Order: sequence, then structure tokens, then C-alpha cells
Amino acid sequence: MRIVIVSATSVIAQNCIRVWAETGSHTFELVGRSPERLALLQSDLSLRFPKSKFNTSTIDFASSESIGHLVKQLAQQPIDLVLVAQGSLTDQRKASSSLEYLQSELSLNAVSAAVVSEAFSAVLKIQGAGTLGVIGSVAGDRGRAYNYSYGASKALLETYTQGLQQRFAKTRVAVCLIKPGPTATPMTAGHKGSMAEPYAVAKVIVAGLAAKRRVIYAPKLWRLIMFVIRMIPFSIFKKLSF
Amino acid sequence: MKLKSFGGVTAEVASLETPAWPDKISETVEGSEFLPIGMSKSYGDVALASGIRQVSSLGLKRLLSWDANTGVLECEAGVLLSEIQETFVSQGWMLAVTPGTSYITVGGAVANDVHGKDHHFTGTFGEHVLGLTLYRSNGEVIECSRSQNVEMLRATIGGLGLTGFIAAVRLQLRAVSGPYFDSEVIPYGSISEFFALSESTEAEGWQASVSWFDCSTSKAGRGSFTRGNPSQRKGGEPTNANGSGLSIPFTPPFSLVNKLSLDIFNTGYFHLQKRLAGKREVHYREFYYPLDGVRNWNRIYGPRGFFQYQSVIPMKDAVSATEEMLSVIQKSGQGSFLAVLKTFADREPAGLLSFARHGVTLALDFPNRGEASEKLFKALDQIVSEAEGTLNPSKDARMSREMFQKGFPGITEFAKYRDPMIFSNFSRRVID
Repeated sequence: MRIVIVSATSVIAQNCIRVWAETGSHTFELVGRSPERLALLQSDLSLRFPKSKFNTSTIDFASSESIGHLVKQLAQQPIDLVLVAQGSLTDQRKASSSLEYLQSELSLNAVSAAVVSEAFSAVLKIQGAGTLGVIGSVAGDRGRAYNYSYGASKALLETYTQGLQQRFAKTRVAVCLIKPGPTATPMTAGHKGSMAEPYAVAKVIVAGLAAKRRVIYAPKLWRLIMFVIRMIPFSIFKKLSF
Repeated sequence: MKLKSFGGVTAEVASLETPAWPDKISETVEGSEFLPIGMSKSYGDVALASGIRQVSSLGLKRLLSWDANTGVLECEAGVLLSEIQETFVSQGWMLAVTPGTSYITVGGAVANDVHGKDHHFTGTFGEHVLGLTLYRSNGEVIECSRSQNVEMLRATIGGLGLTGFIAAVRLQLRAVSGPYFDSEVIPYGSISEFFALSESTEAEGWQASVSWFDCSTSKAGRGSFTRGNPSQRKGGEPTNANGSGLSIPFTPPFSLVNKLSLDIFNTGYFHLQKRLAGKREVHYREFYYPLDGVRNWNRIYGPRGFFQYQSVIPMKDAVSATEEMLSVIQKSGQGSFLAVLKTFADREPAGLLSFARHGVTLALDFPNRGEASEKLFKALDQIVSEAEGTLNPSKDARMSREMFQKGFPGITEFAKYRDPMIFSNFSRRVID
């Protein structure tokens, strides 16, 4: 397969790459902001998985021009799968006190991710086949005081992918929304609460994408947890603190 | 938050910070006091620092470059030894030195200048370090190699993390045919037989050797000697996955290791080893890392944890001192589950504070019995000190300042290379 990973340096993306590369030989297009980080990732993956090929390209997530240019370049050869993994875990307290921070977070997590998804969906449409996986979050299932800026961005991606899914329903293009639960990353080390291991999360994602599932909760238990959370009446929900 | 060492020592630390990219290291290590840590597999308190920040290398896990012709690997400090073995054994290369667990970081292996079964053949881990990148709390990034900042390299190897944050390491791997070892198990009846076997093993050119022995039953002193050489067989895929898949799922409320279970274990294990006596081919995981197959085995010691007492005694008094230690342990009634004996060859230490030195090393695990344990250790300390030996800092949680300073005379020179913002509970206890 030829797999495009947008924001390949994110922890979940890195683990998905590992799962794919462990089970087959693929060509990976690693896309990201920082050429230095991409080069590190490329050297590591090339040494661990000599049977796969790893190319890198940089992107400015804030620029539709940069996004359009990159997608055009990558589309010169057929793409089997695109994983849109960009996102930053917004610090809600900081977002509430700095409008500048809030705007840049919303731009990256919502606007830019939607633009990237739209641009690649156009490529898949022309190809007539392919899978687009977009990383949302369980945080998008219900607005909470704790993380609503992040959650709202991910909710936008949910509606966006729903639209793409209906649009491509009669084609062989699959669009999948991925909703990871809280995942242990270097940044969450030391946080309270139980976190899923990113490798286990990645396994669920890779299997879900292969099965072209419309919504992939990872770990799967989160489908049930979020169903319950969505069902709680607001009169009770407002009193909860989690 | 609370952190726990492998032996069960705990510390309340200010925070755990894990830079995930090299461009984040400087901002993390600058500013306030901290301690670099890895997998926290040290037994005592070298990887714990109460009240200050712990900066983990576990976010830095990338392989950076590899030369398949020379076997030189450069990788980030958070890469685990298991990853190196698994990635490169199929290409005919392995670590030249590995301790008894593969679940430790490269950074930790350098900082503790670890040793293993191959000491008489390949020395310590630090002897195969060609260079490293060190981030200091003052913002300096120091590239050390065999030709550049050589003294800083020597201080950092075995330097217990106190010279700076090791970010990347350049390592010389060793060429092997495949993942297998030709091993031989030889039961023996007494400590003096062990010494004779050690000598002949070295003379016959065996690359690796280690020995387990019984130190609790009335037949204490008997044991089994294992030695091995990399097999010439080219490999093929390993036939069995690592270990038994056994795991100790939780910490029992009390130690499962007591006089009765020890005697049963030691007797049973001796007879098992007797049955295994002779030559056979084993996978490197079984040869080097038998305990990696049982996850969380340290939990059998219960919530109070355990101590490992690892001494090294110079050759001249090794036989008598080891026999004396054995008799003190037997009299105390606190036998050890894992009693490991090994000789260290006469080699130039790689680091200023390296533990491995010419002599005989004895490693013993004891459940933590509070005062009774300390009383036993004091008695053992005296034998070790009189024989001009010392203890391994990576295993230690209790040795005295005096004993450390005497056993590690390089500590005076080491001070010149110390990072003034780095402390561990170990350094506070015996150095600062």
C-alpha cells in the first residue's frame, strides 16, 4: 500500500505506522511541520522496517496553499490510504485566557484538519477508490468544561466526515472517523487516570481502517462509555465534574 | 507524584517530564534541579530524587544511524536494549554487553556502566560506547567521543546520570552468526569448585559465563555453572517467543520468599539444573534474559520489596571472603533466592565510577525485613570492606557514605564533571 500520514510525528500516527510496517511492506509518505523531526522519524523507521519505504514532505498546516500544493504532489502516484492525524491537545485553561492561543488551536485542530481531509478526498474521488481516516476524539462526543475547545474542534471533524461519507456512499472511497480515548503519550506521563497504550490504540485503528468502519472507537470500550455519557440528561451532566 | 524503584524503594518527586524530541530537551533540563531517569529498573535509589523533577528518556526512542559494515549504531537514549537485540540480530549483530534484563534504556546502561555474563570477554557496556550527546543544565550540549571531550565521556559512563542528560549514544555492536548460543550447564558441589570452573572457562575461551548457587539449605555452596558461546548457526526464526508468558499479576500482601520457600526453591532448582546439565543450543533471550520471561517477578517479595546486595571482591581474598559471606548468610537464616556468582576480568574500567573491576562479584536478593536485613548487610559490609571490595550503586539503597567513598576513589575527580543541578537520593546519601 501507499499510505499518506499527515502529521506523522504524532504519537498515535507513529504507532499506526509501526503496526502497518510490522505486518507488511508499504510505502509511507510522512507529512509534518518540522523537517528535523521528520528526518529523525524517517531514519528510525527505515532502520527498524527495512522492507518498507519512508518518504517525507513538509507542510504549513495554516496555509491552504501549502496544503493544496502538497496534496497535488502526493497525488502523482496512487494513494491507498490517508491518515489525517494532526491535532494538538488544547489546554482549556490557557485557551480561556488567551484568545490568540485559542484561535491557533481551533485553526489547527478543526479548520486545517478539515481542509486537509477535503483536499485528499478529492484525490480519492478521482482515483475512484481509497480510504481516508480522520482522527477525531471521544472528546468530540459531548462538550465538557474540561476540554470543550478541543472537543468542539473534533466535533467539527465528525460532522465533516459524515458529509464526506454520505457524498461517497455510492463509491469505493471509504471515509472513517477515528475516536481515540485518552492515550498515554510522553506529554501525558504523570497525568492521573488510566490511559490506553498508544500501540494498542493503533492496532484497533489499523484494523478499523482495513474494515473501512465508519466510526472507529479506540479502545473499543469507548463506544459504550461515550454512549452512556451522551445519554446523561444535562440537568445531571452539569453537576458532574470529569 | 510517587515513583518506585525495582527493589521497591519509593520517592515523592516533583514531576515526571518526558521530552519527546531533541528540540525539547534543552528547555526541559534547564532551570531547576532534576534527575535523568529511564526504565526505573535500578534496585535502589540511583534513579530516584525526592522533591525535584525527574526527566525521563522514554520519549526519545529513535534509531538514528546504522552502519551495517562496521556495526556502529547511533540511537537516542530511551531505546531499550531489547529493541536493539531484536532489530539487529537478524542482520548478524548484537549488543556486545548486556545485563540480565533487556528492558532497560541505552541511557541507563551507559549511566550504570552495566555488565553481564560476558565481562571477561567484552567488558562492560561503557567499553562499547564510542560517543554520546550530553545536555547540561546550563544549556550546553556536549558531544563526547573517544577523541573529543574524552574526560566527560569517562565521567558519564557509570556516572549515574549525574553529569547531564544523555540524549543519544553511539555504540559498537558485536558480530554474531545468529540468535543462538551454544550453552553448557555444569552442576558443582562447592564454592571452590566454582572458582576452578571459572578459571578453566576463561582459559578455554568461553565468551559468557554465570553461576547460580544455593545459599540457604544445609547443602549451601552447591550450584550450577552456565557458560556459552554464540552459535555458528545462521539463525532462522526463533522457535519460541520470549519466556513462558508468566506474569506476577499483583503484589501479594506479604513476601512469598521465606526460609521454607527458599529451601524448597533452592533444592528444586539445583535438581532442575542437574537435569539440564550438559550442552544444548538456546535462544539468546533464554541465555541472557531468563527472568524477562516472568514479568514483574520482583512482586513476589511483597509490598516491602527487596534488596539486592551485589559486592565485588578483589581476586586475592575472593575465595575466603566469599565463603565467609556464605556462612554469615546461612547463619542469619535469611537465604537468598537469586544468588549469582561471577568473575570479573582484569580490564581497564570504562568509567570513572565503574563498579566492575577485577575480582569476584556476588549478587544476592533478600526480602526487605527491616532491621534484620540491615544487620545482615552490616556483617556482609565488614567482610567486603576488609577484603577491599565494594558494592554496586545500581543495586544499592543503604551503603554508607564511607563505604562508597572508599570503594570509588574516582569520586574526587568526578566532581569536576558533575552537573550542579542534578541530584539523586543516592548522590545525596553518599556523595553530596
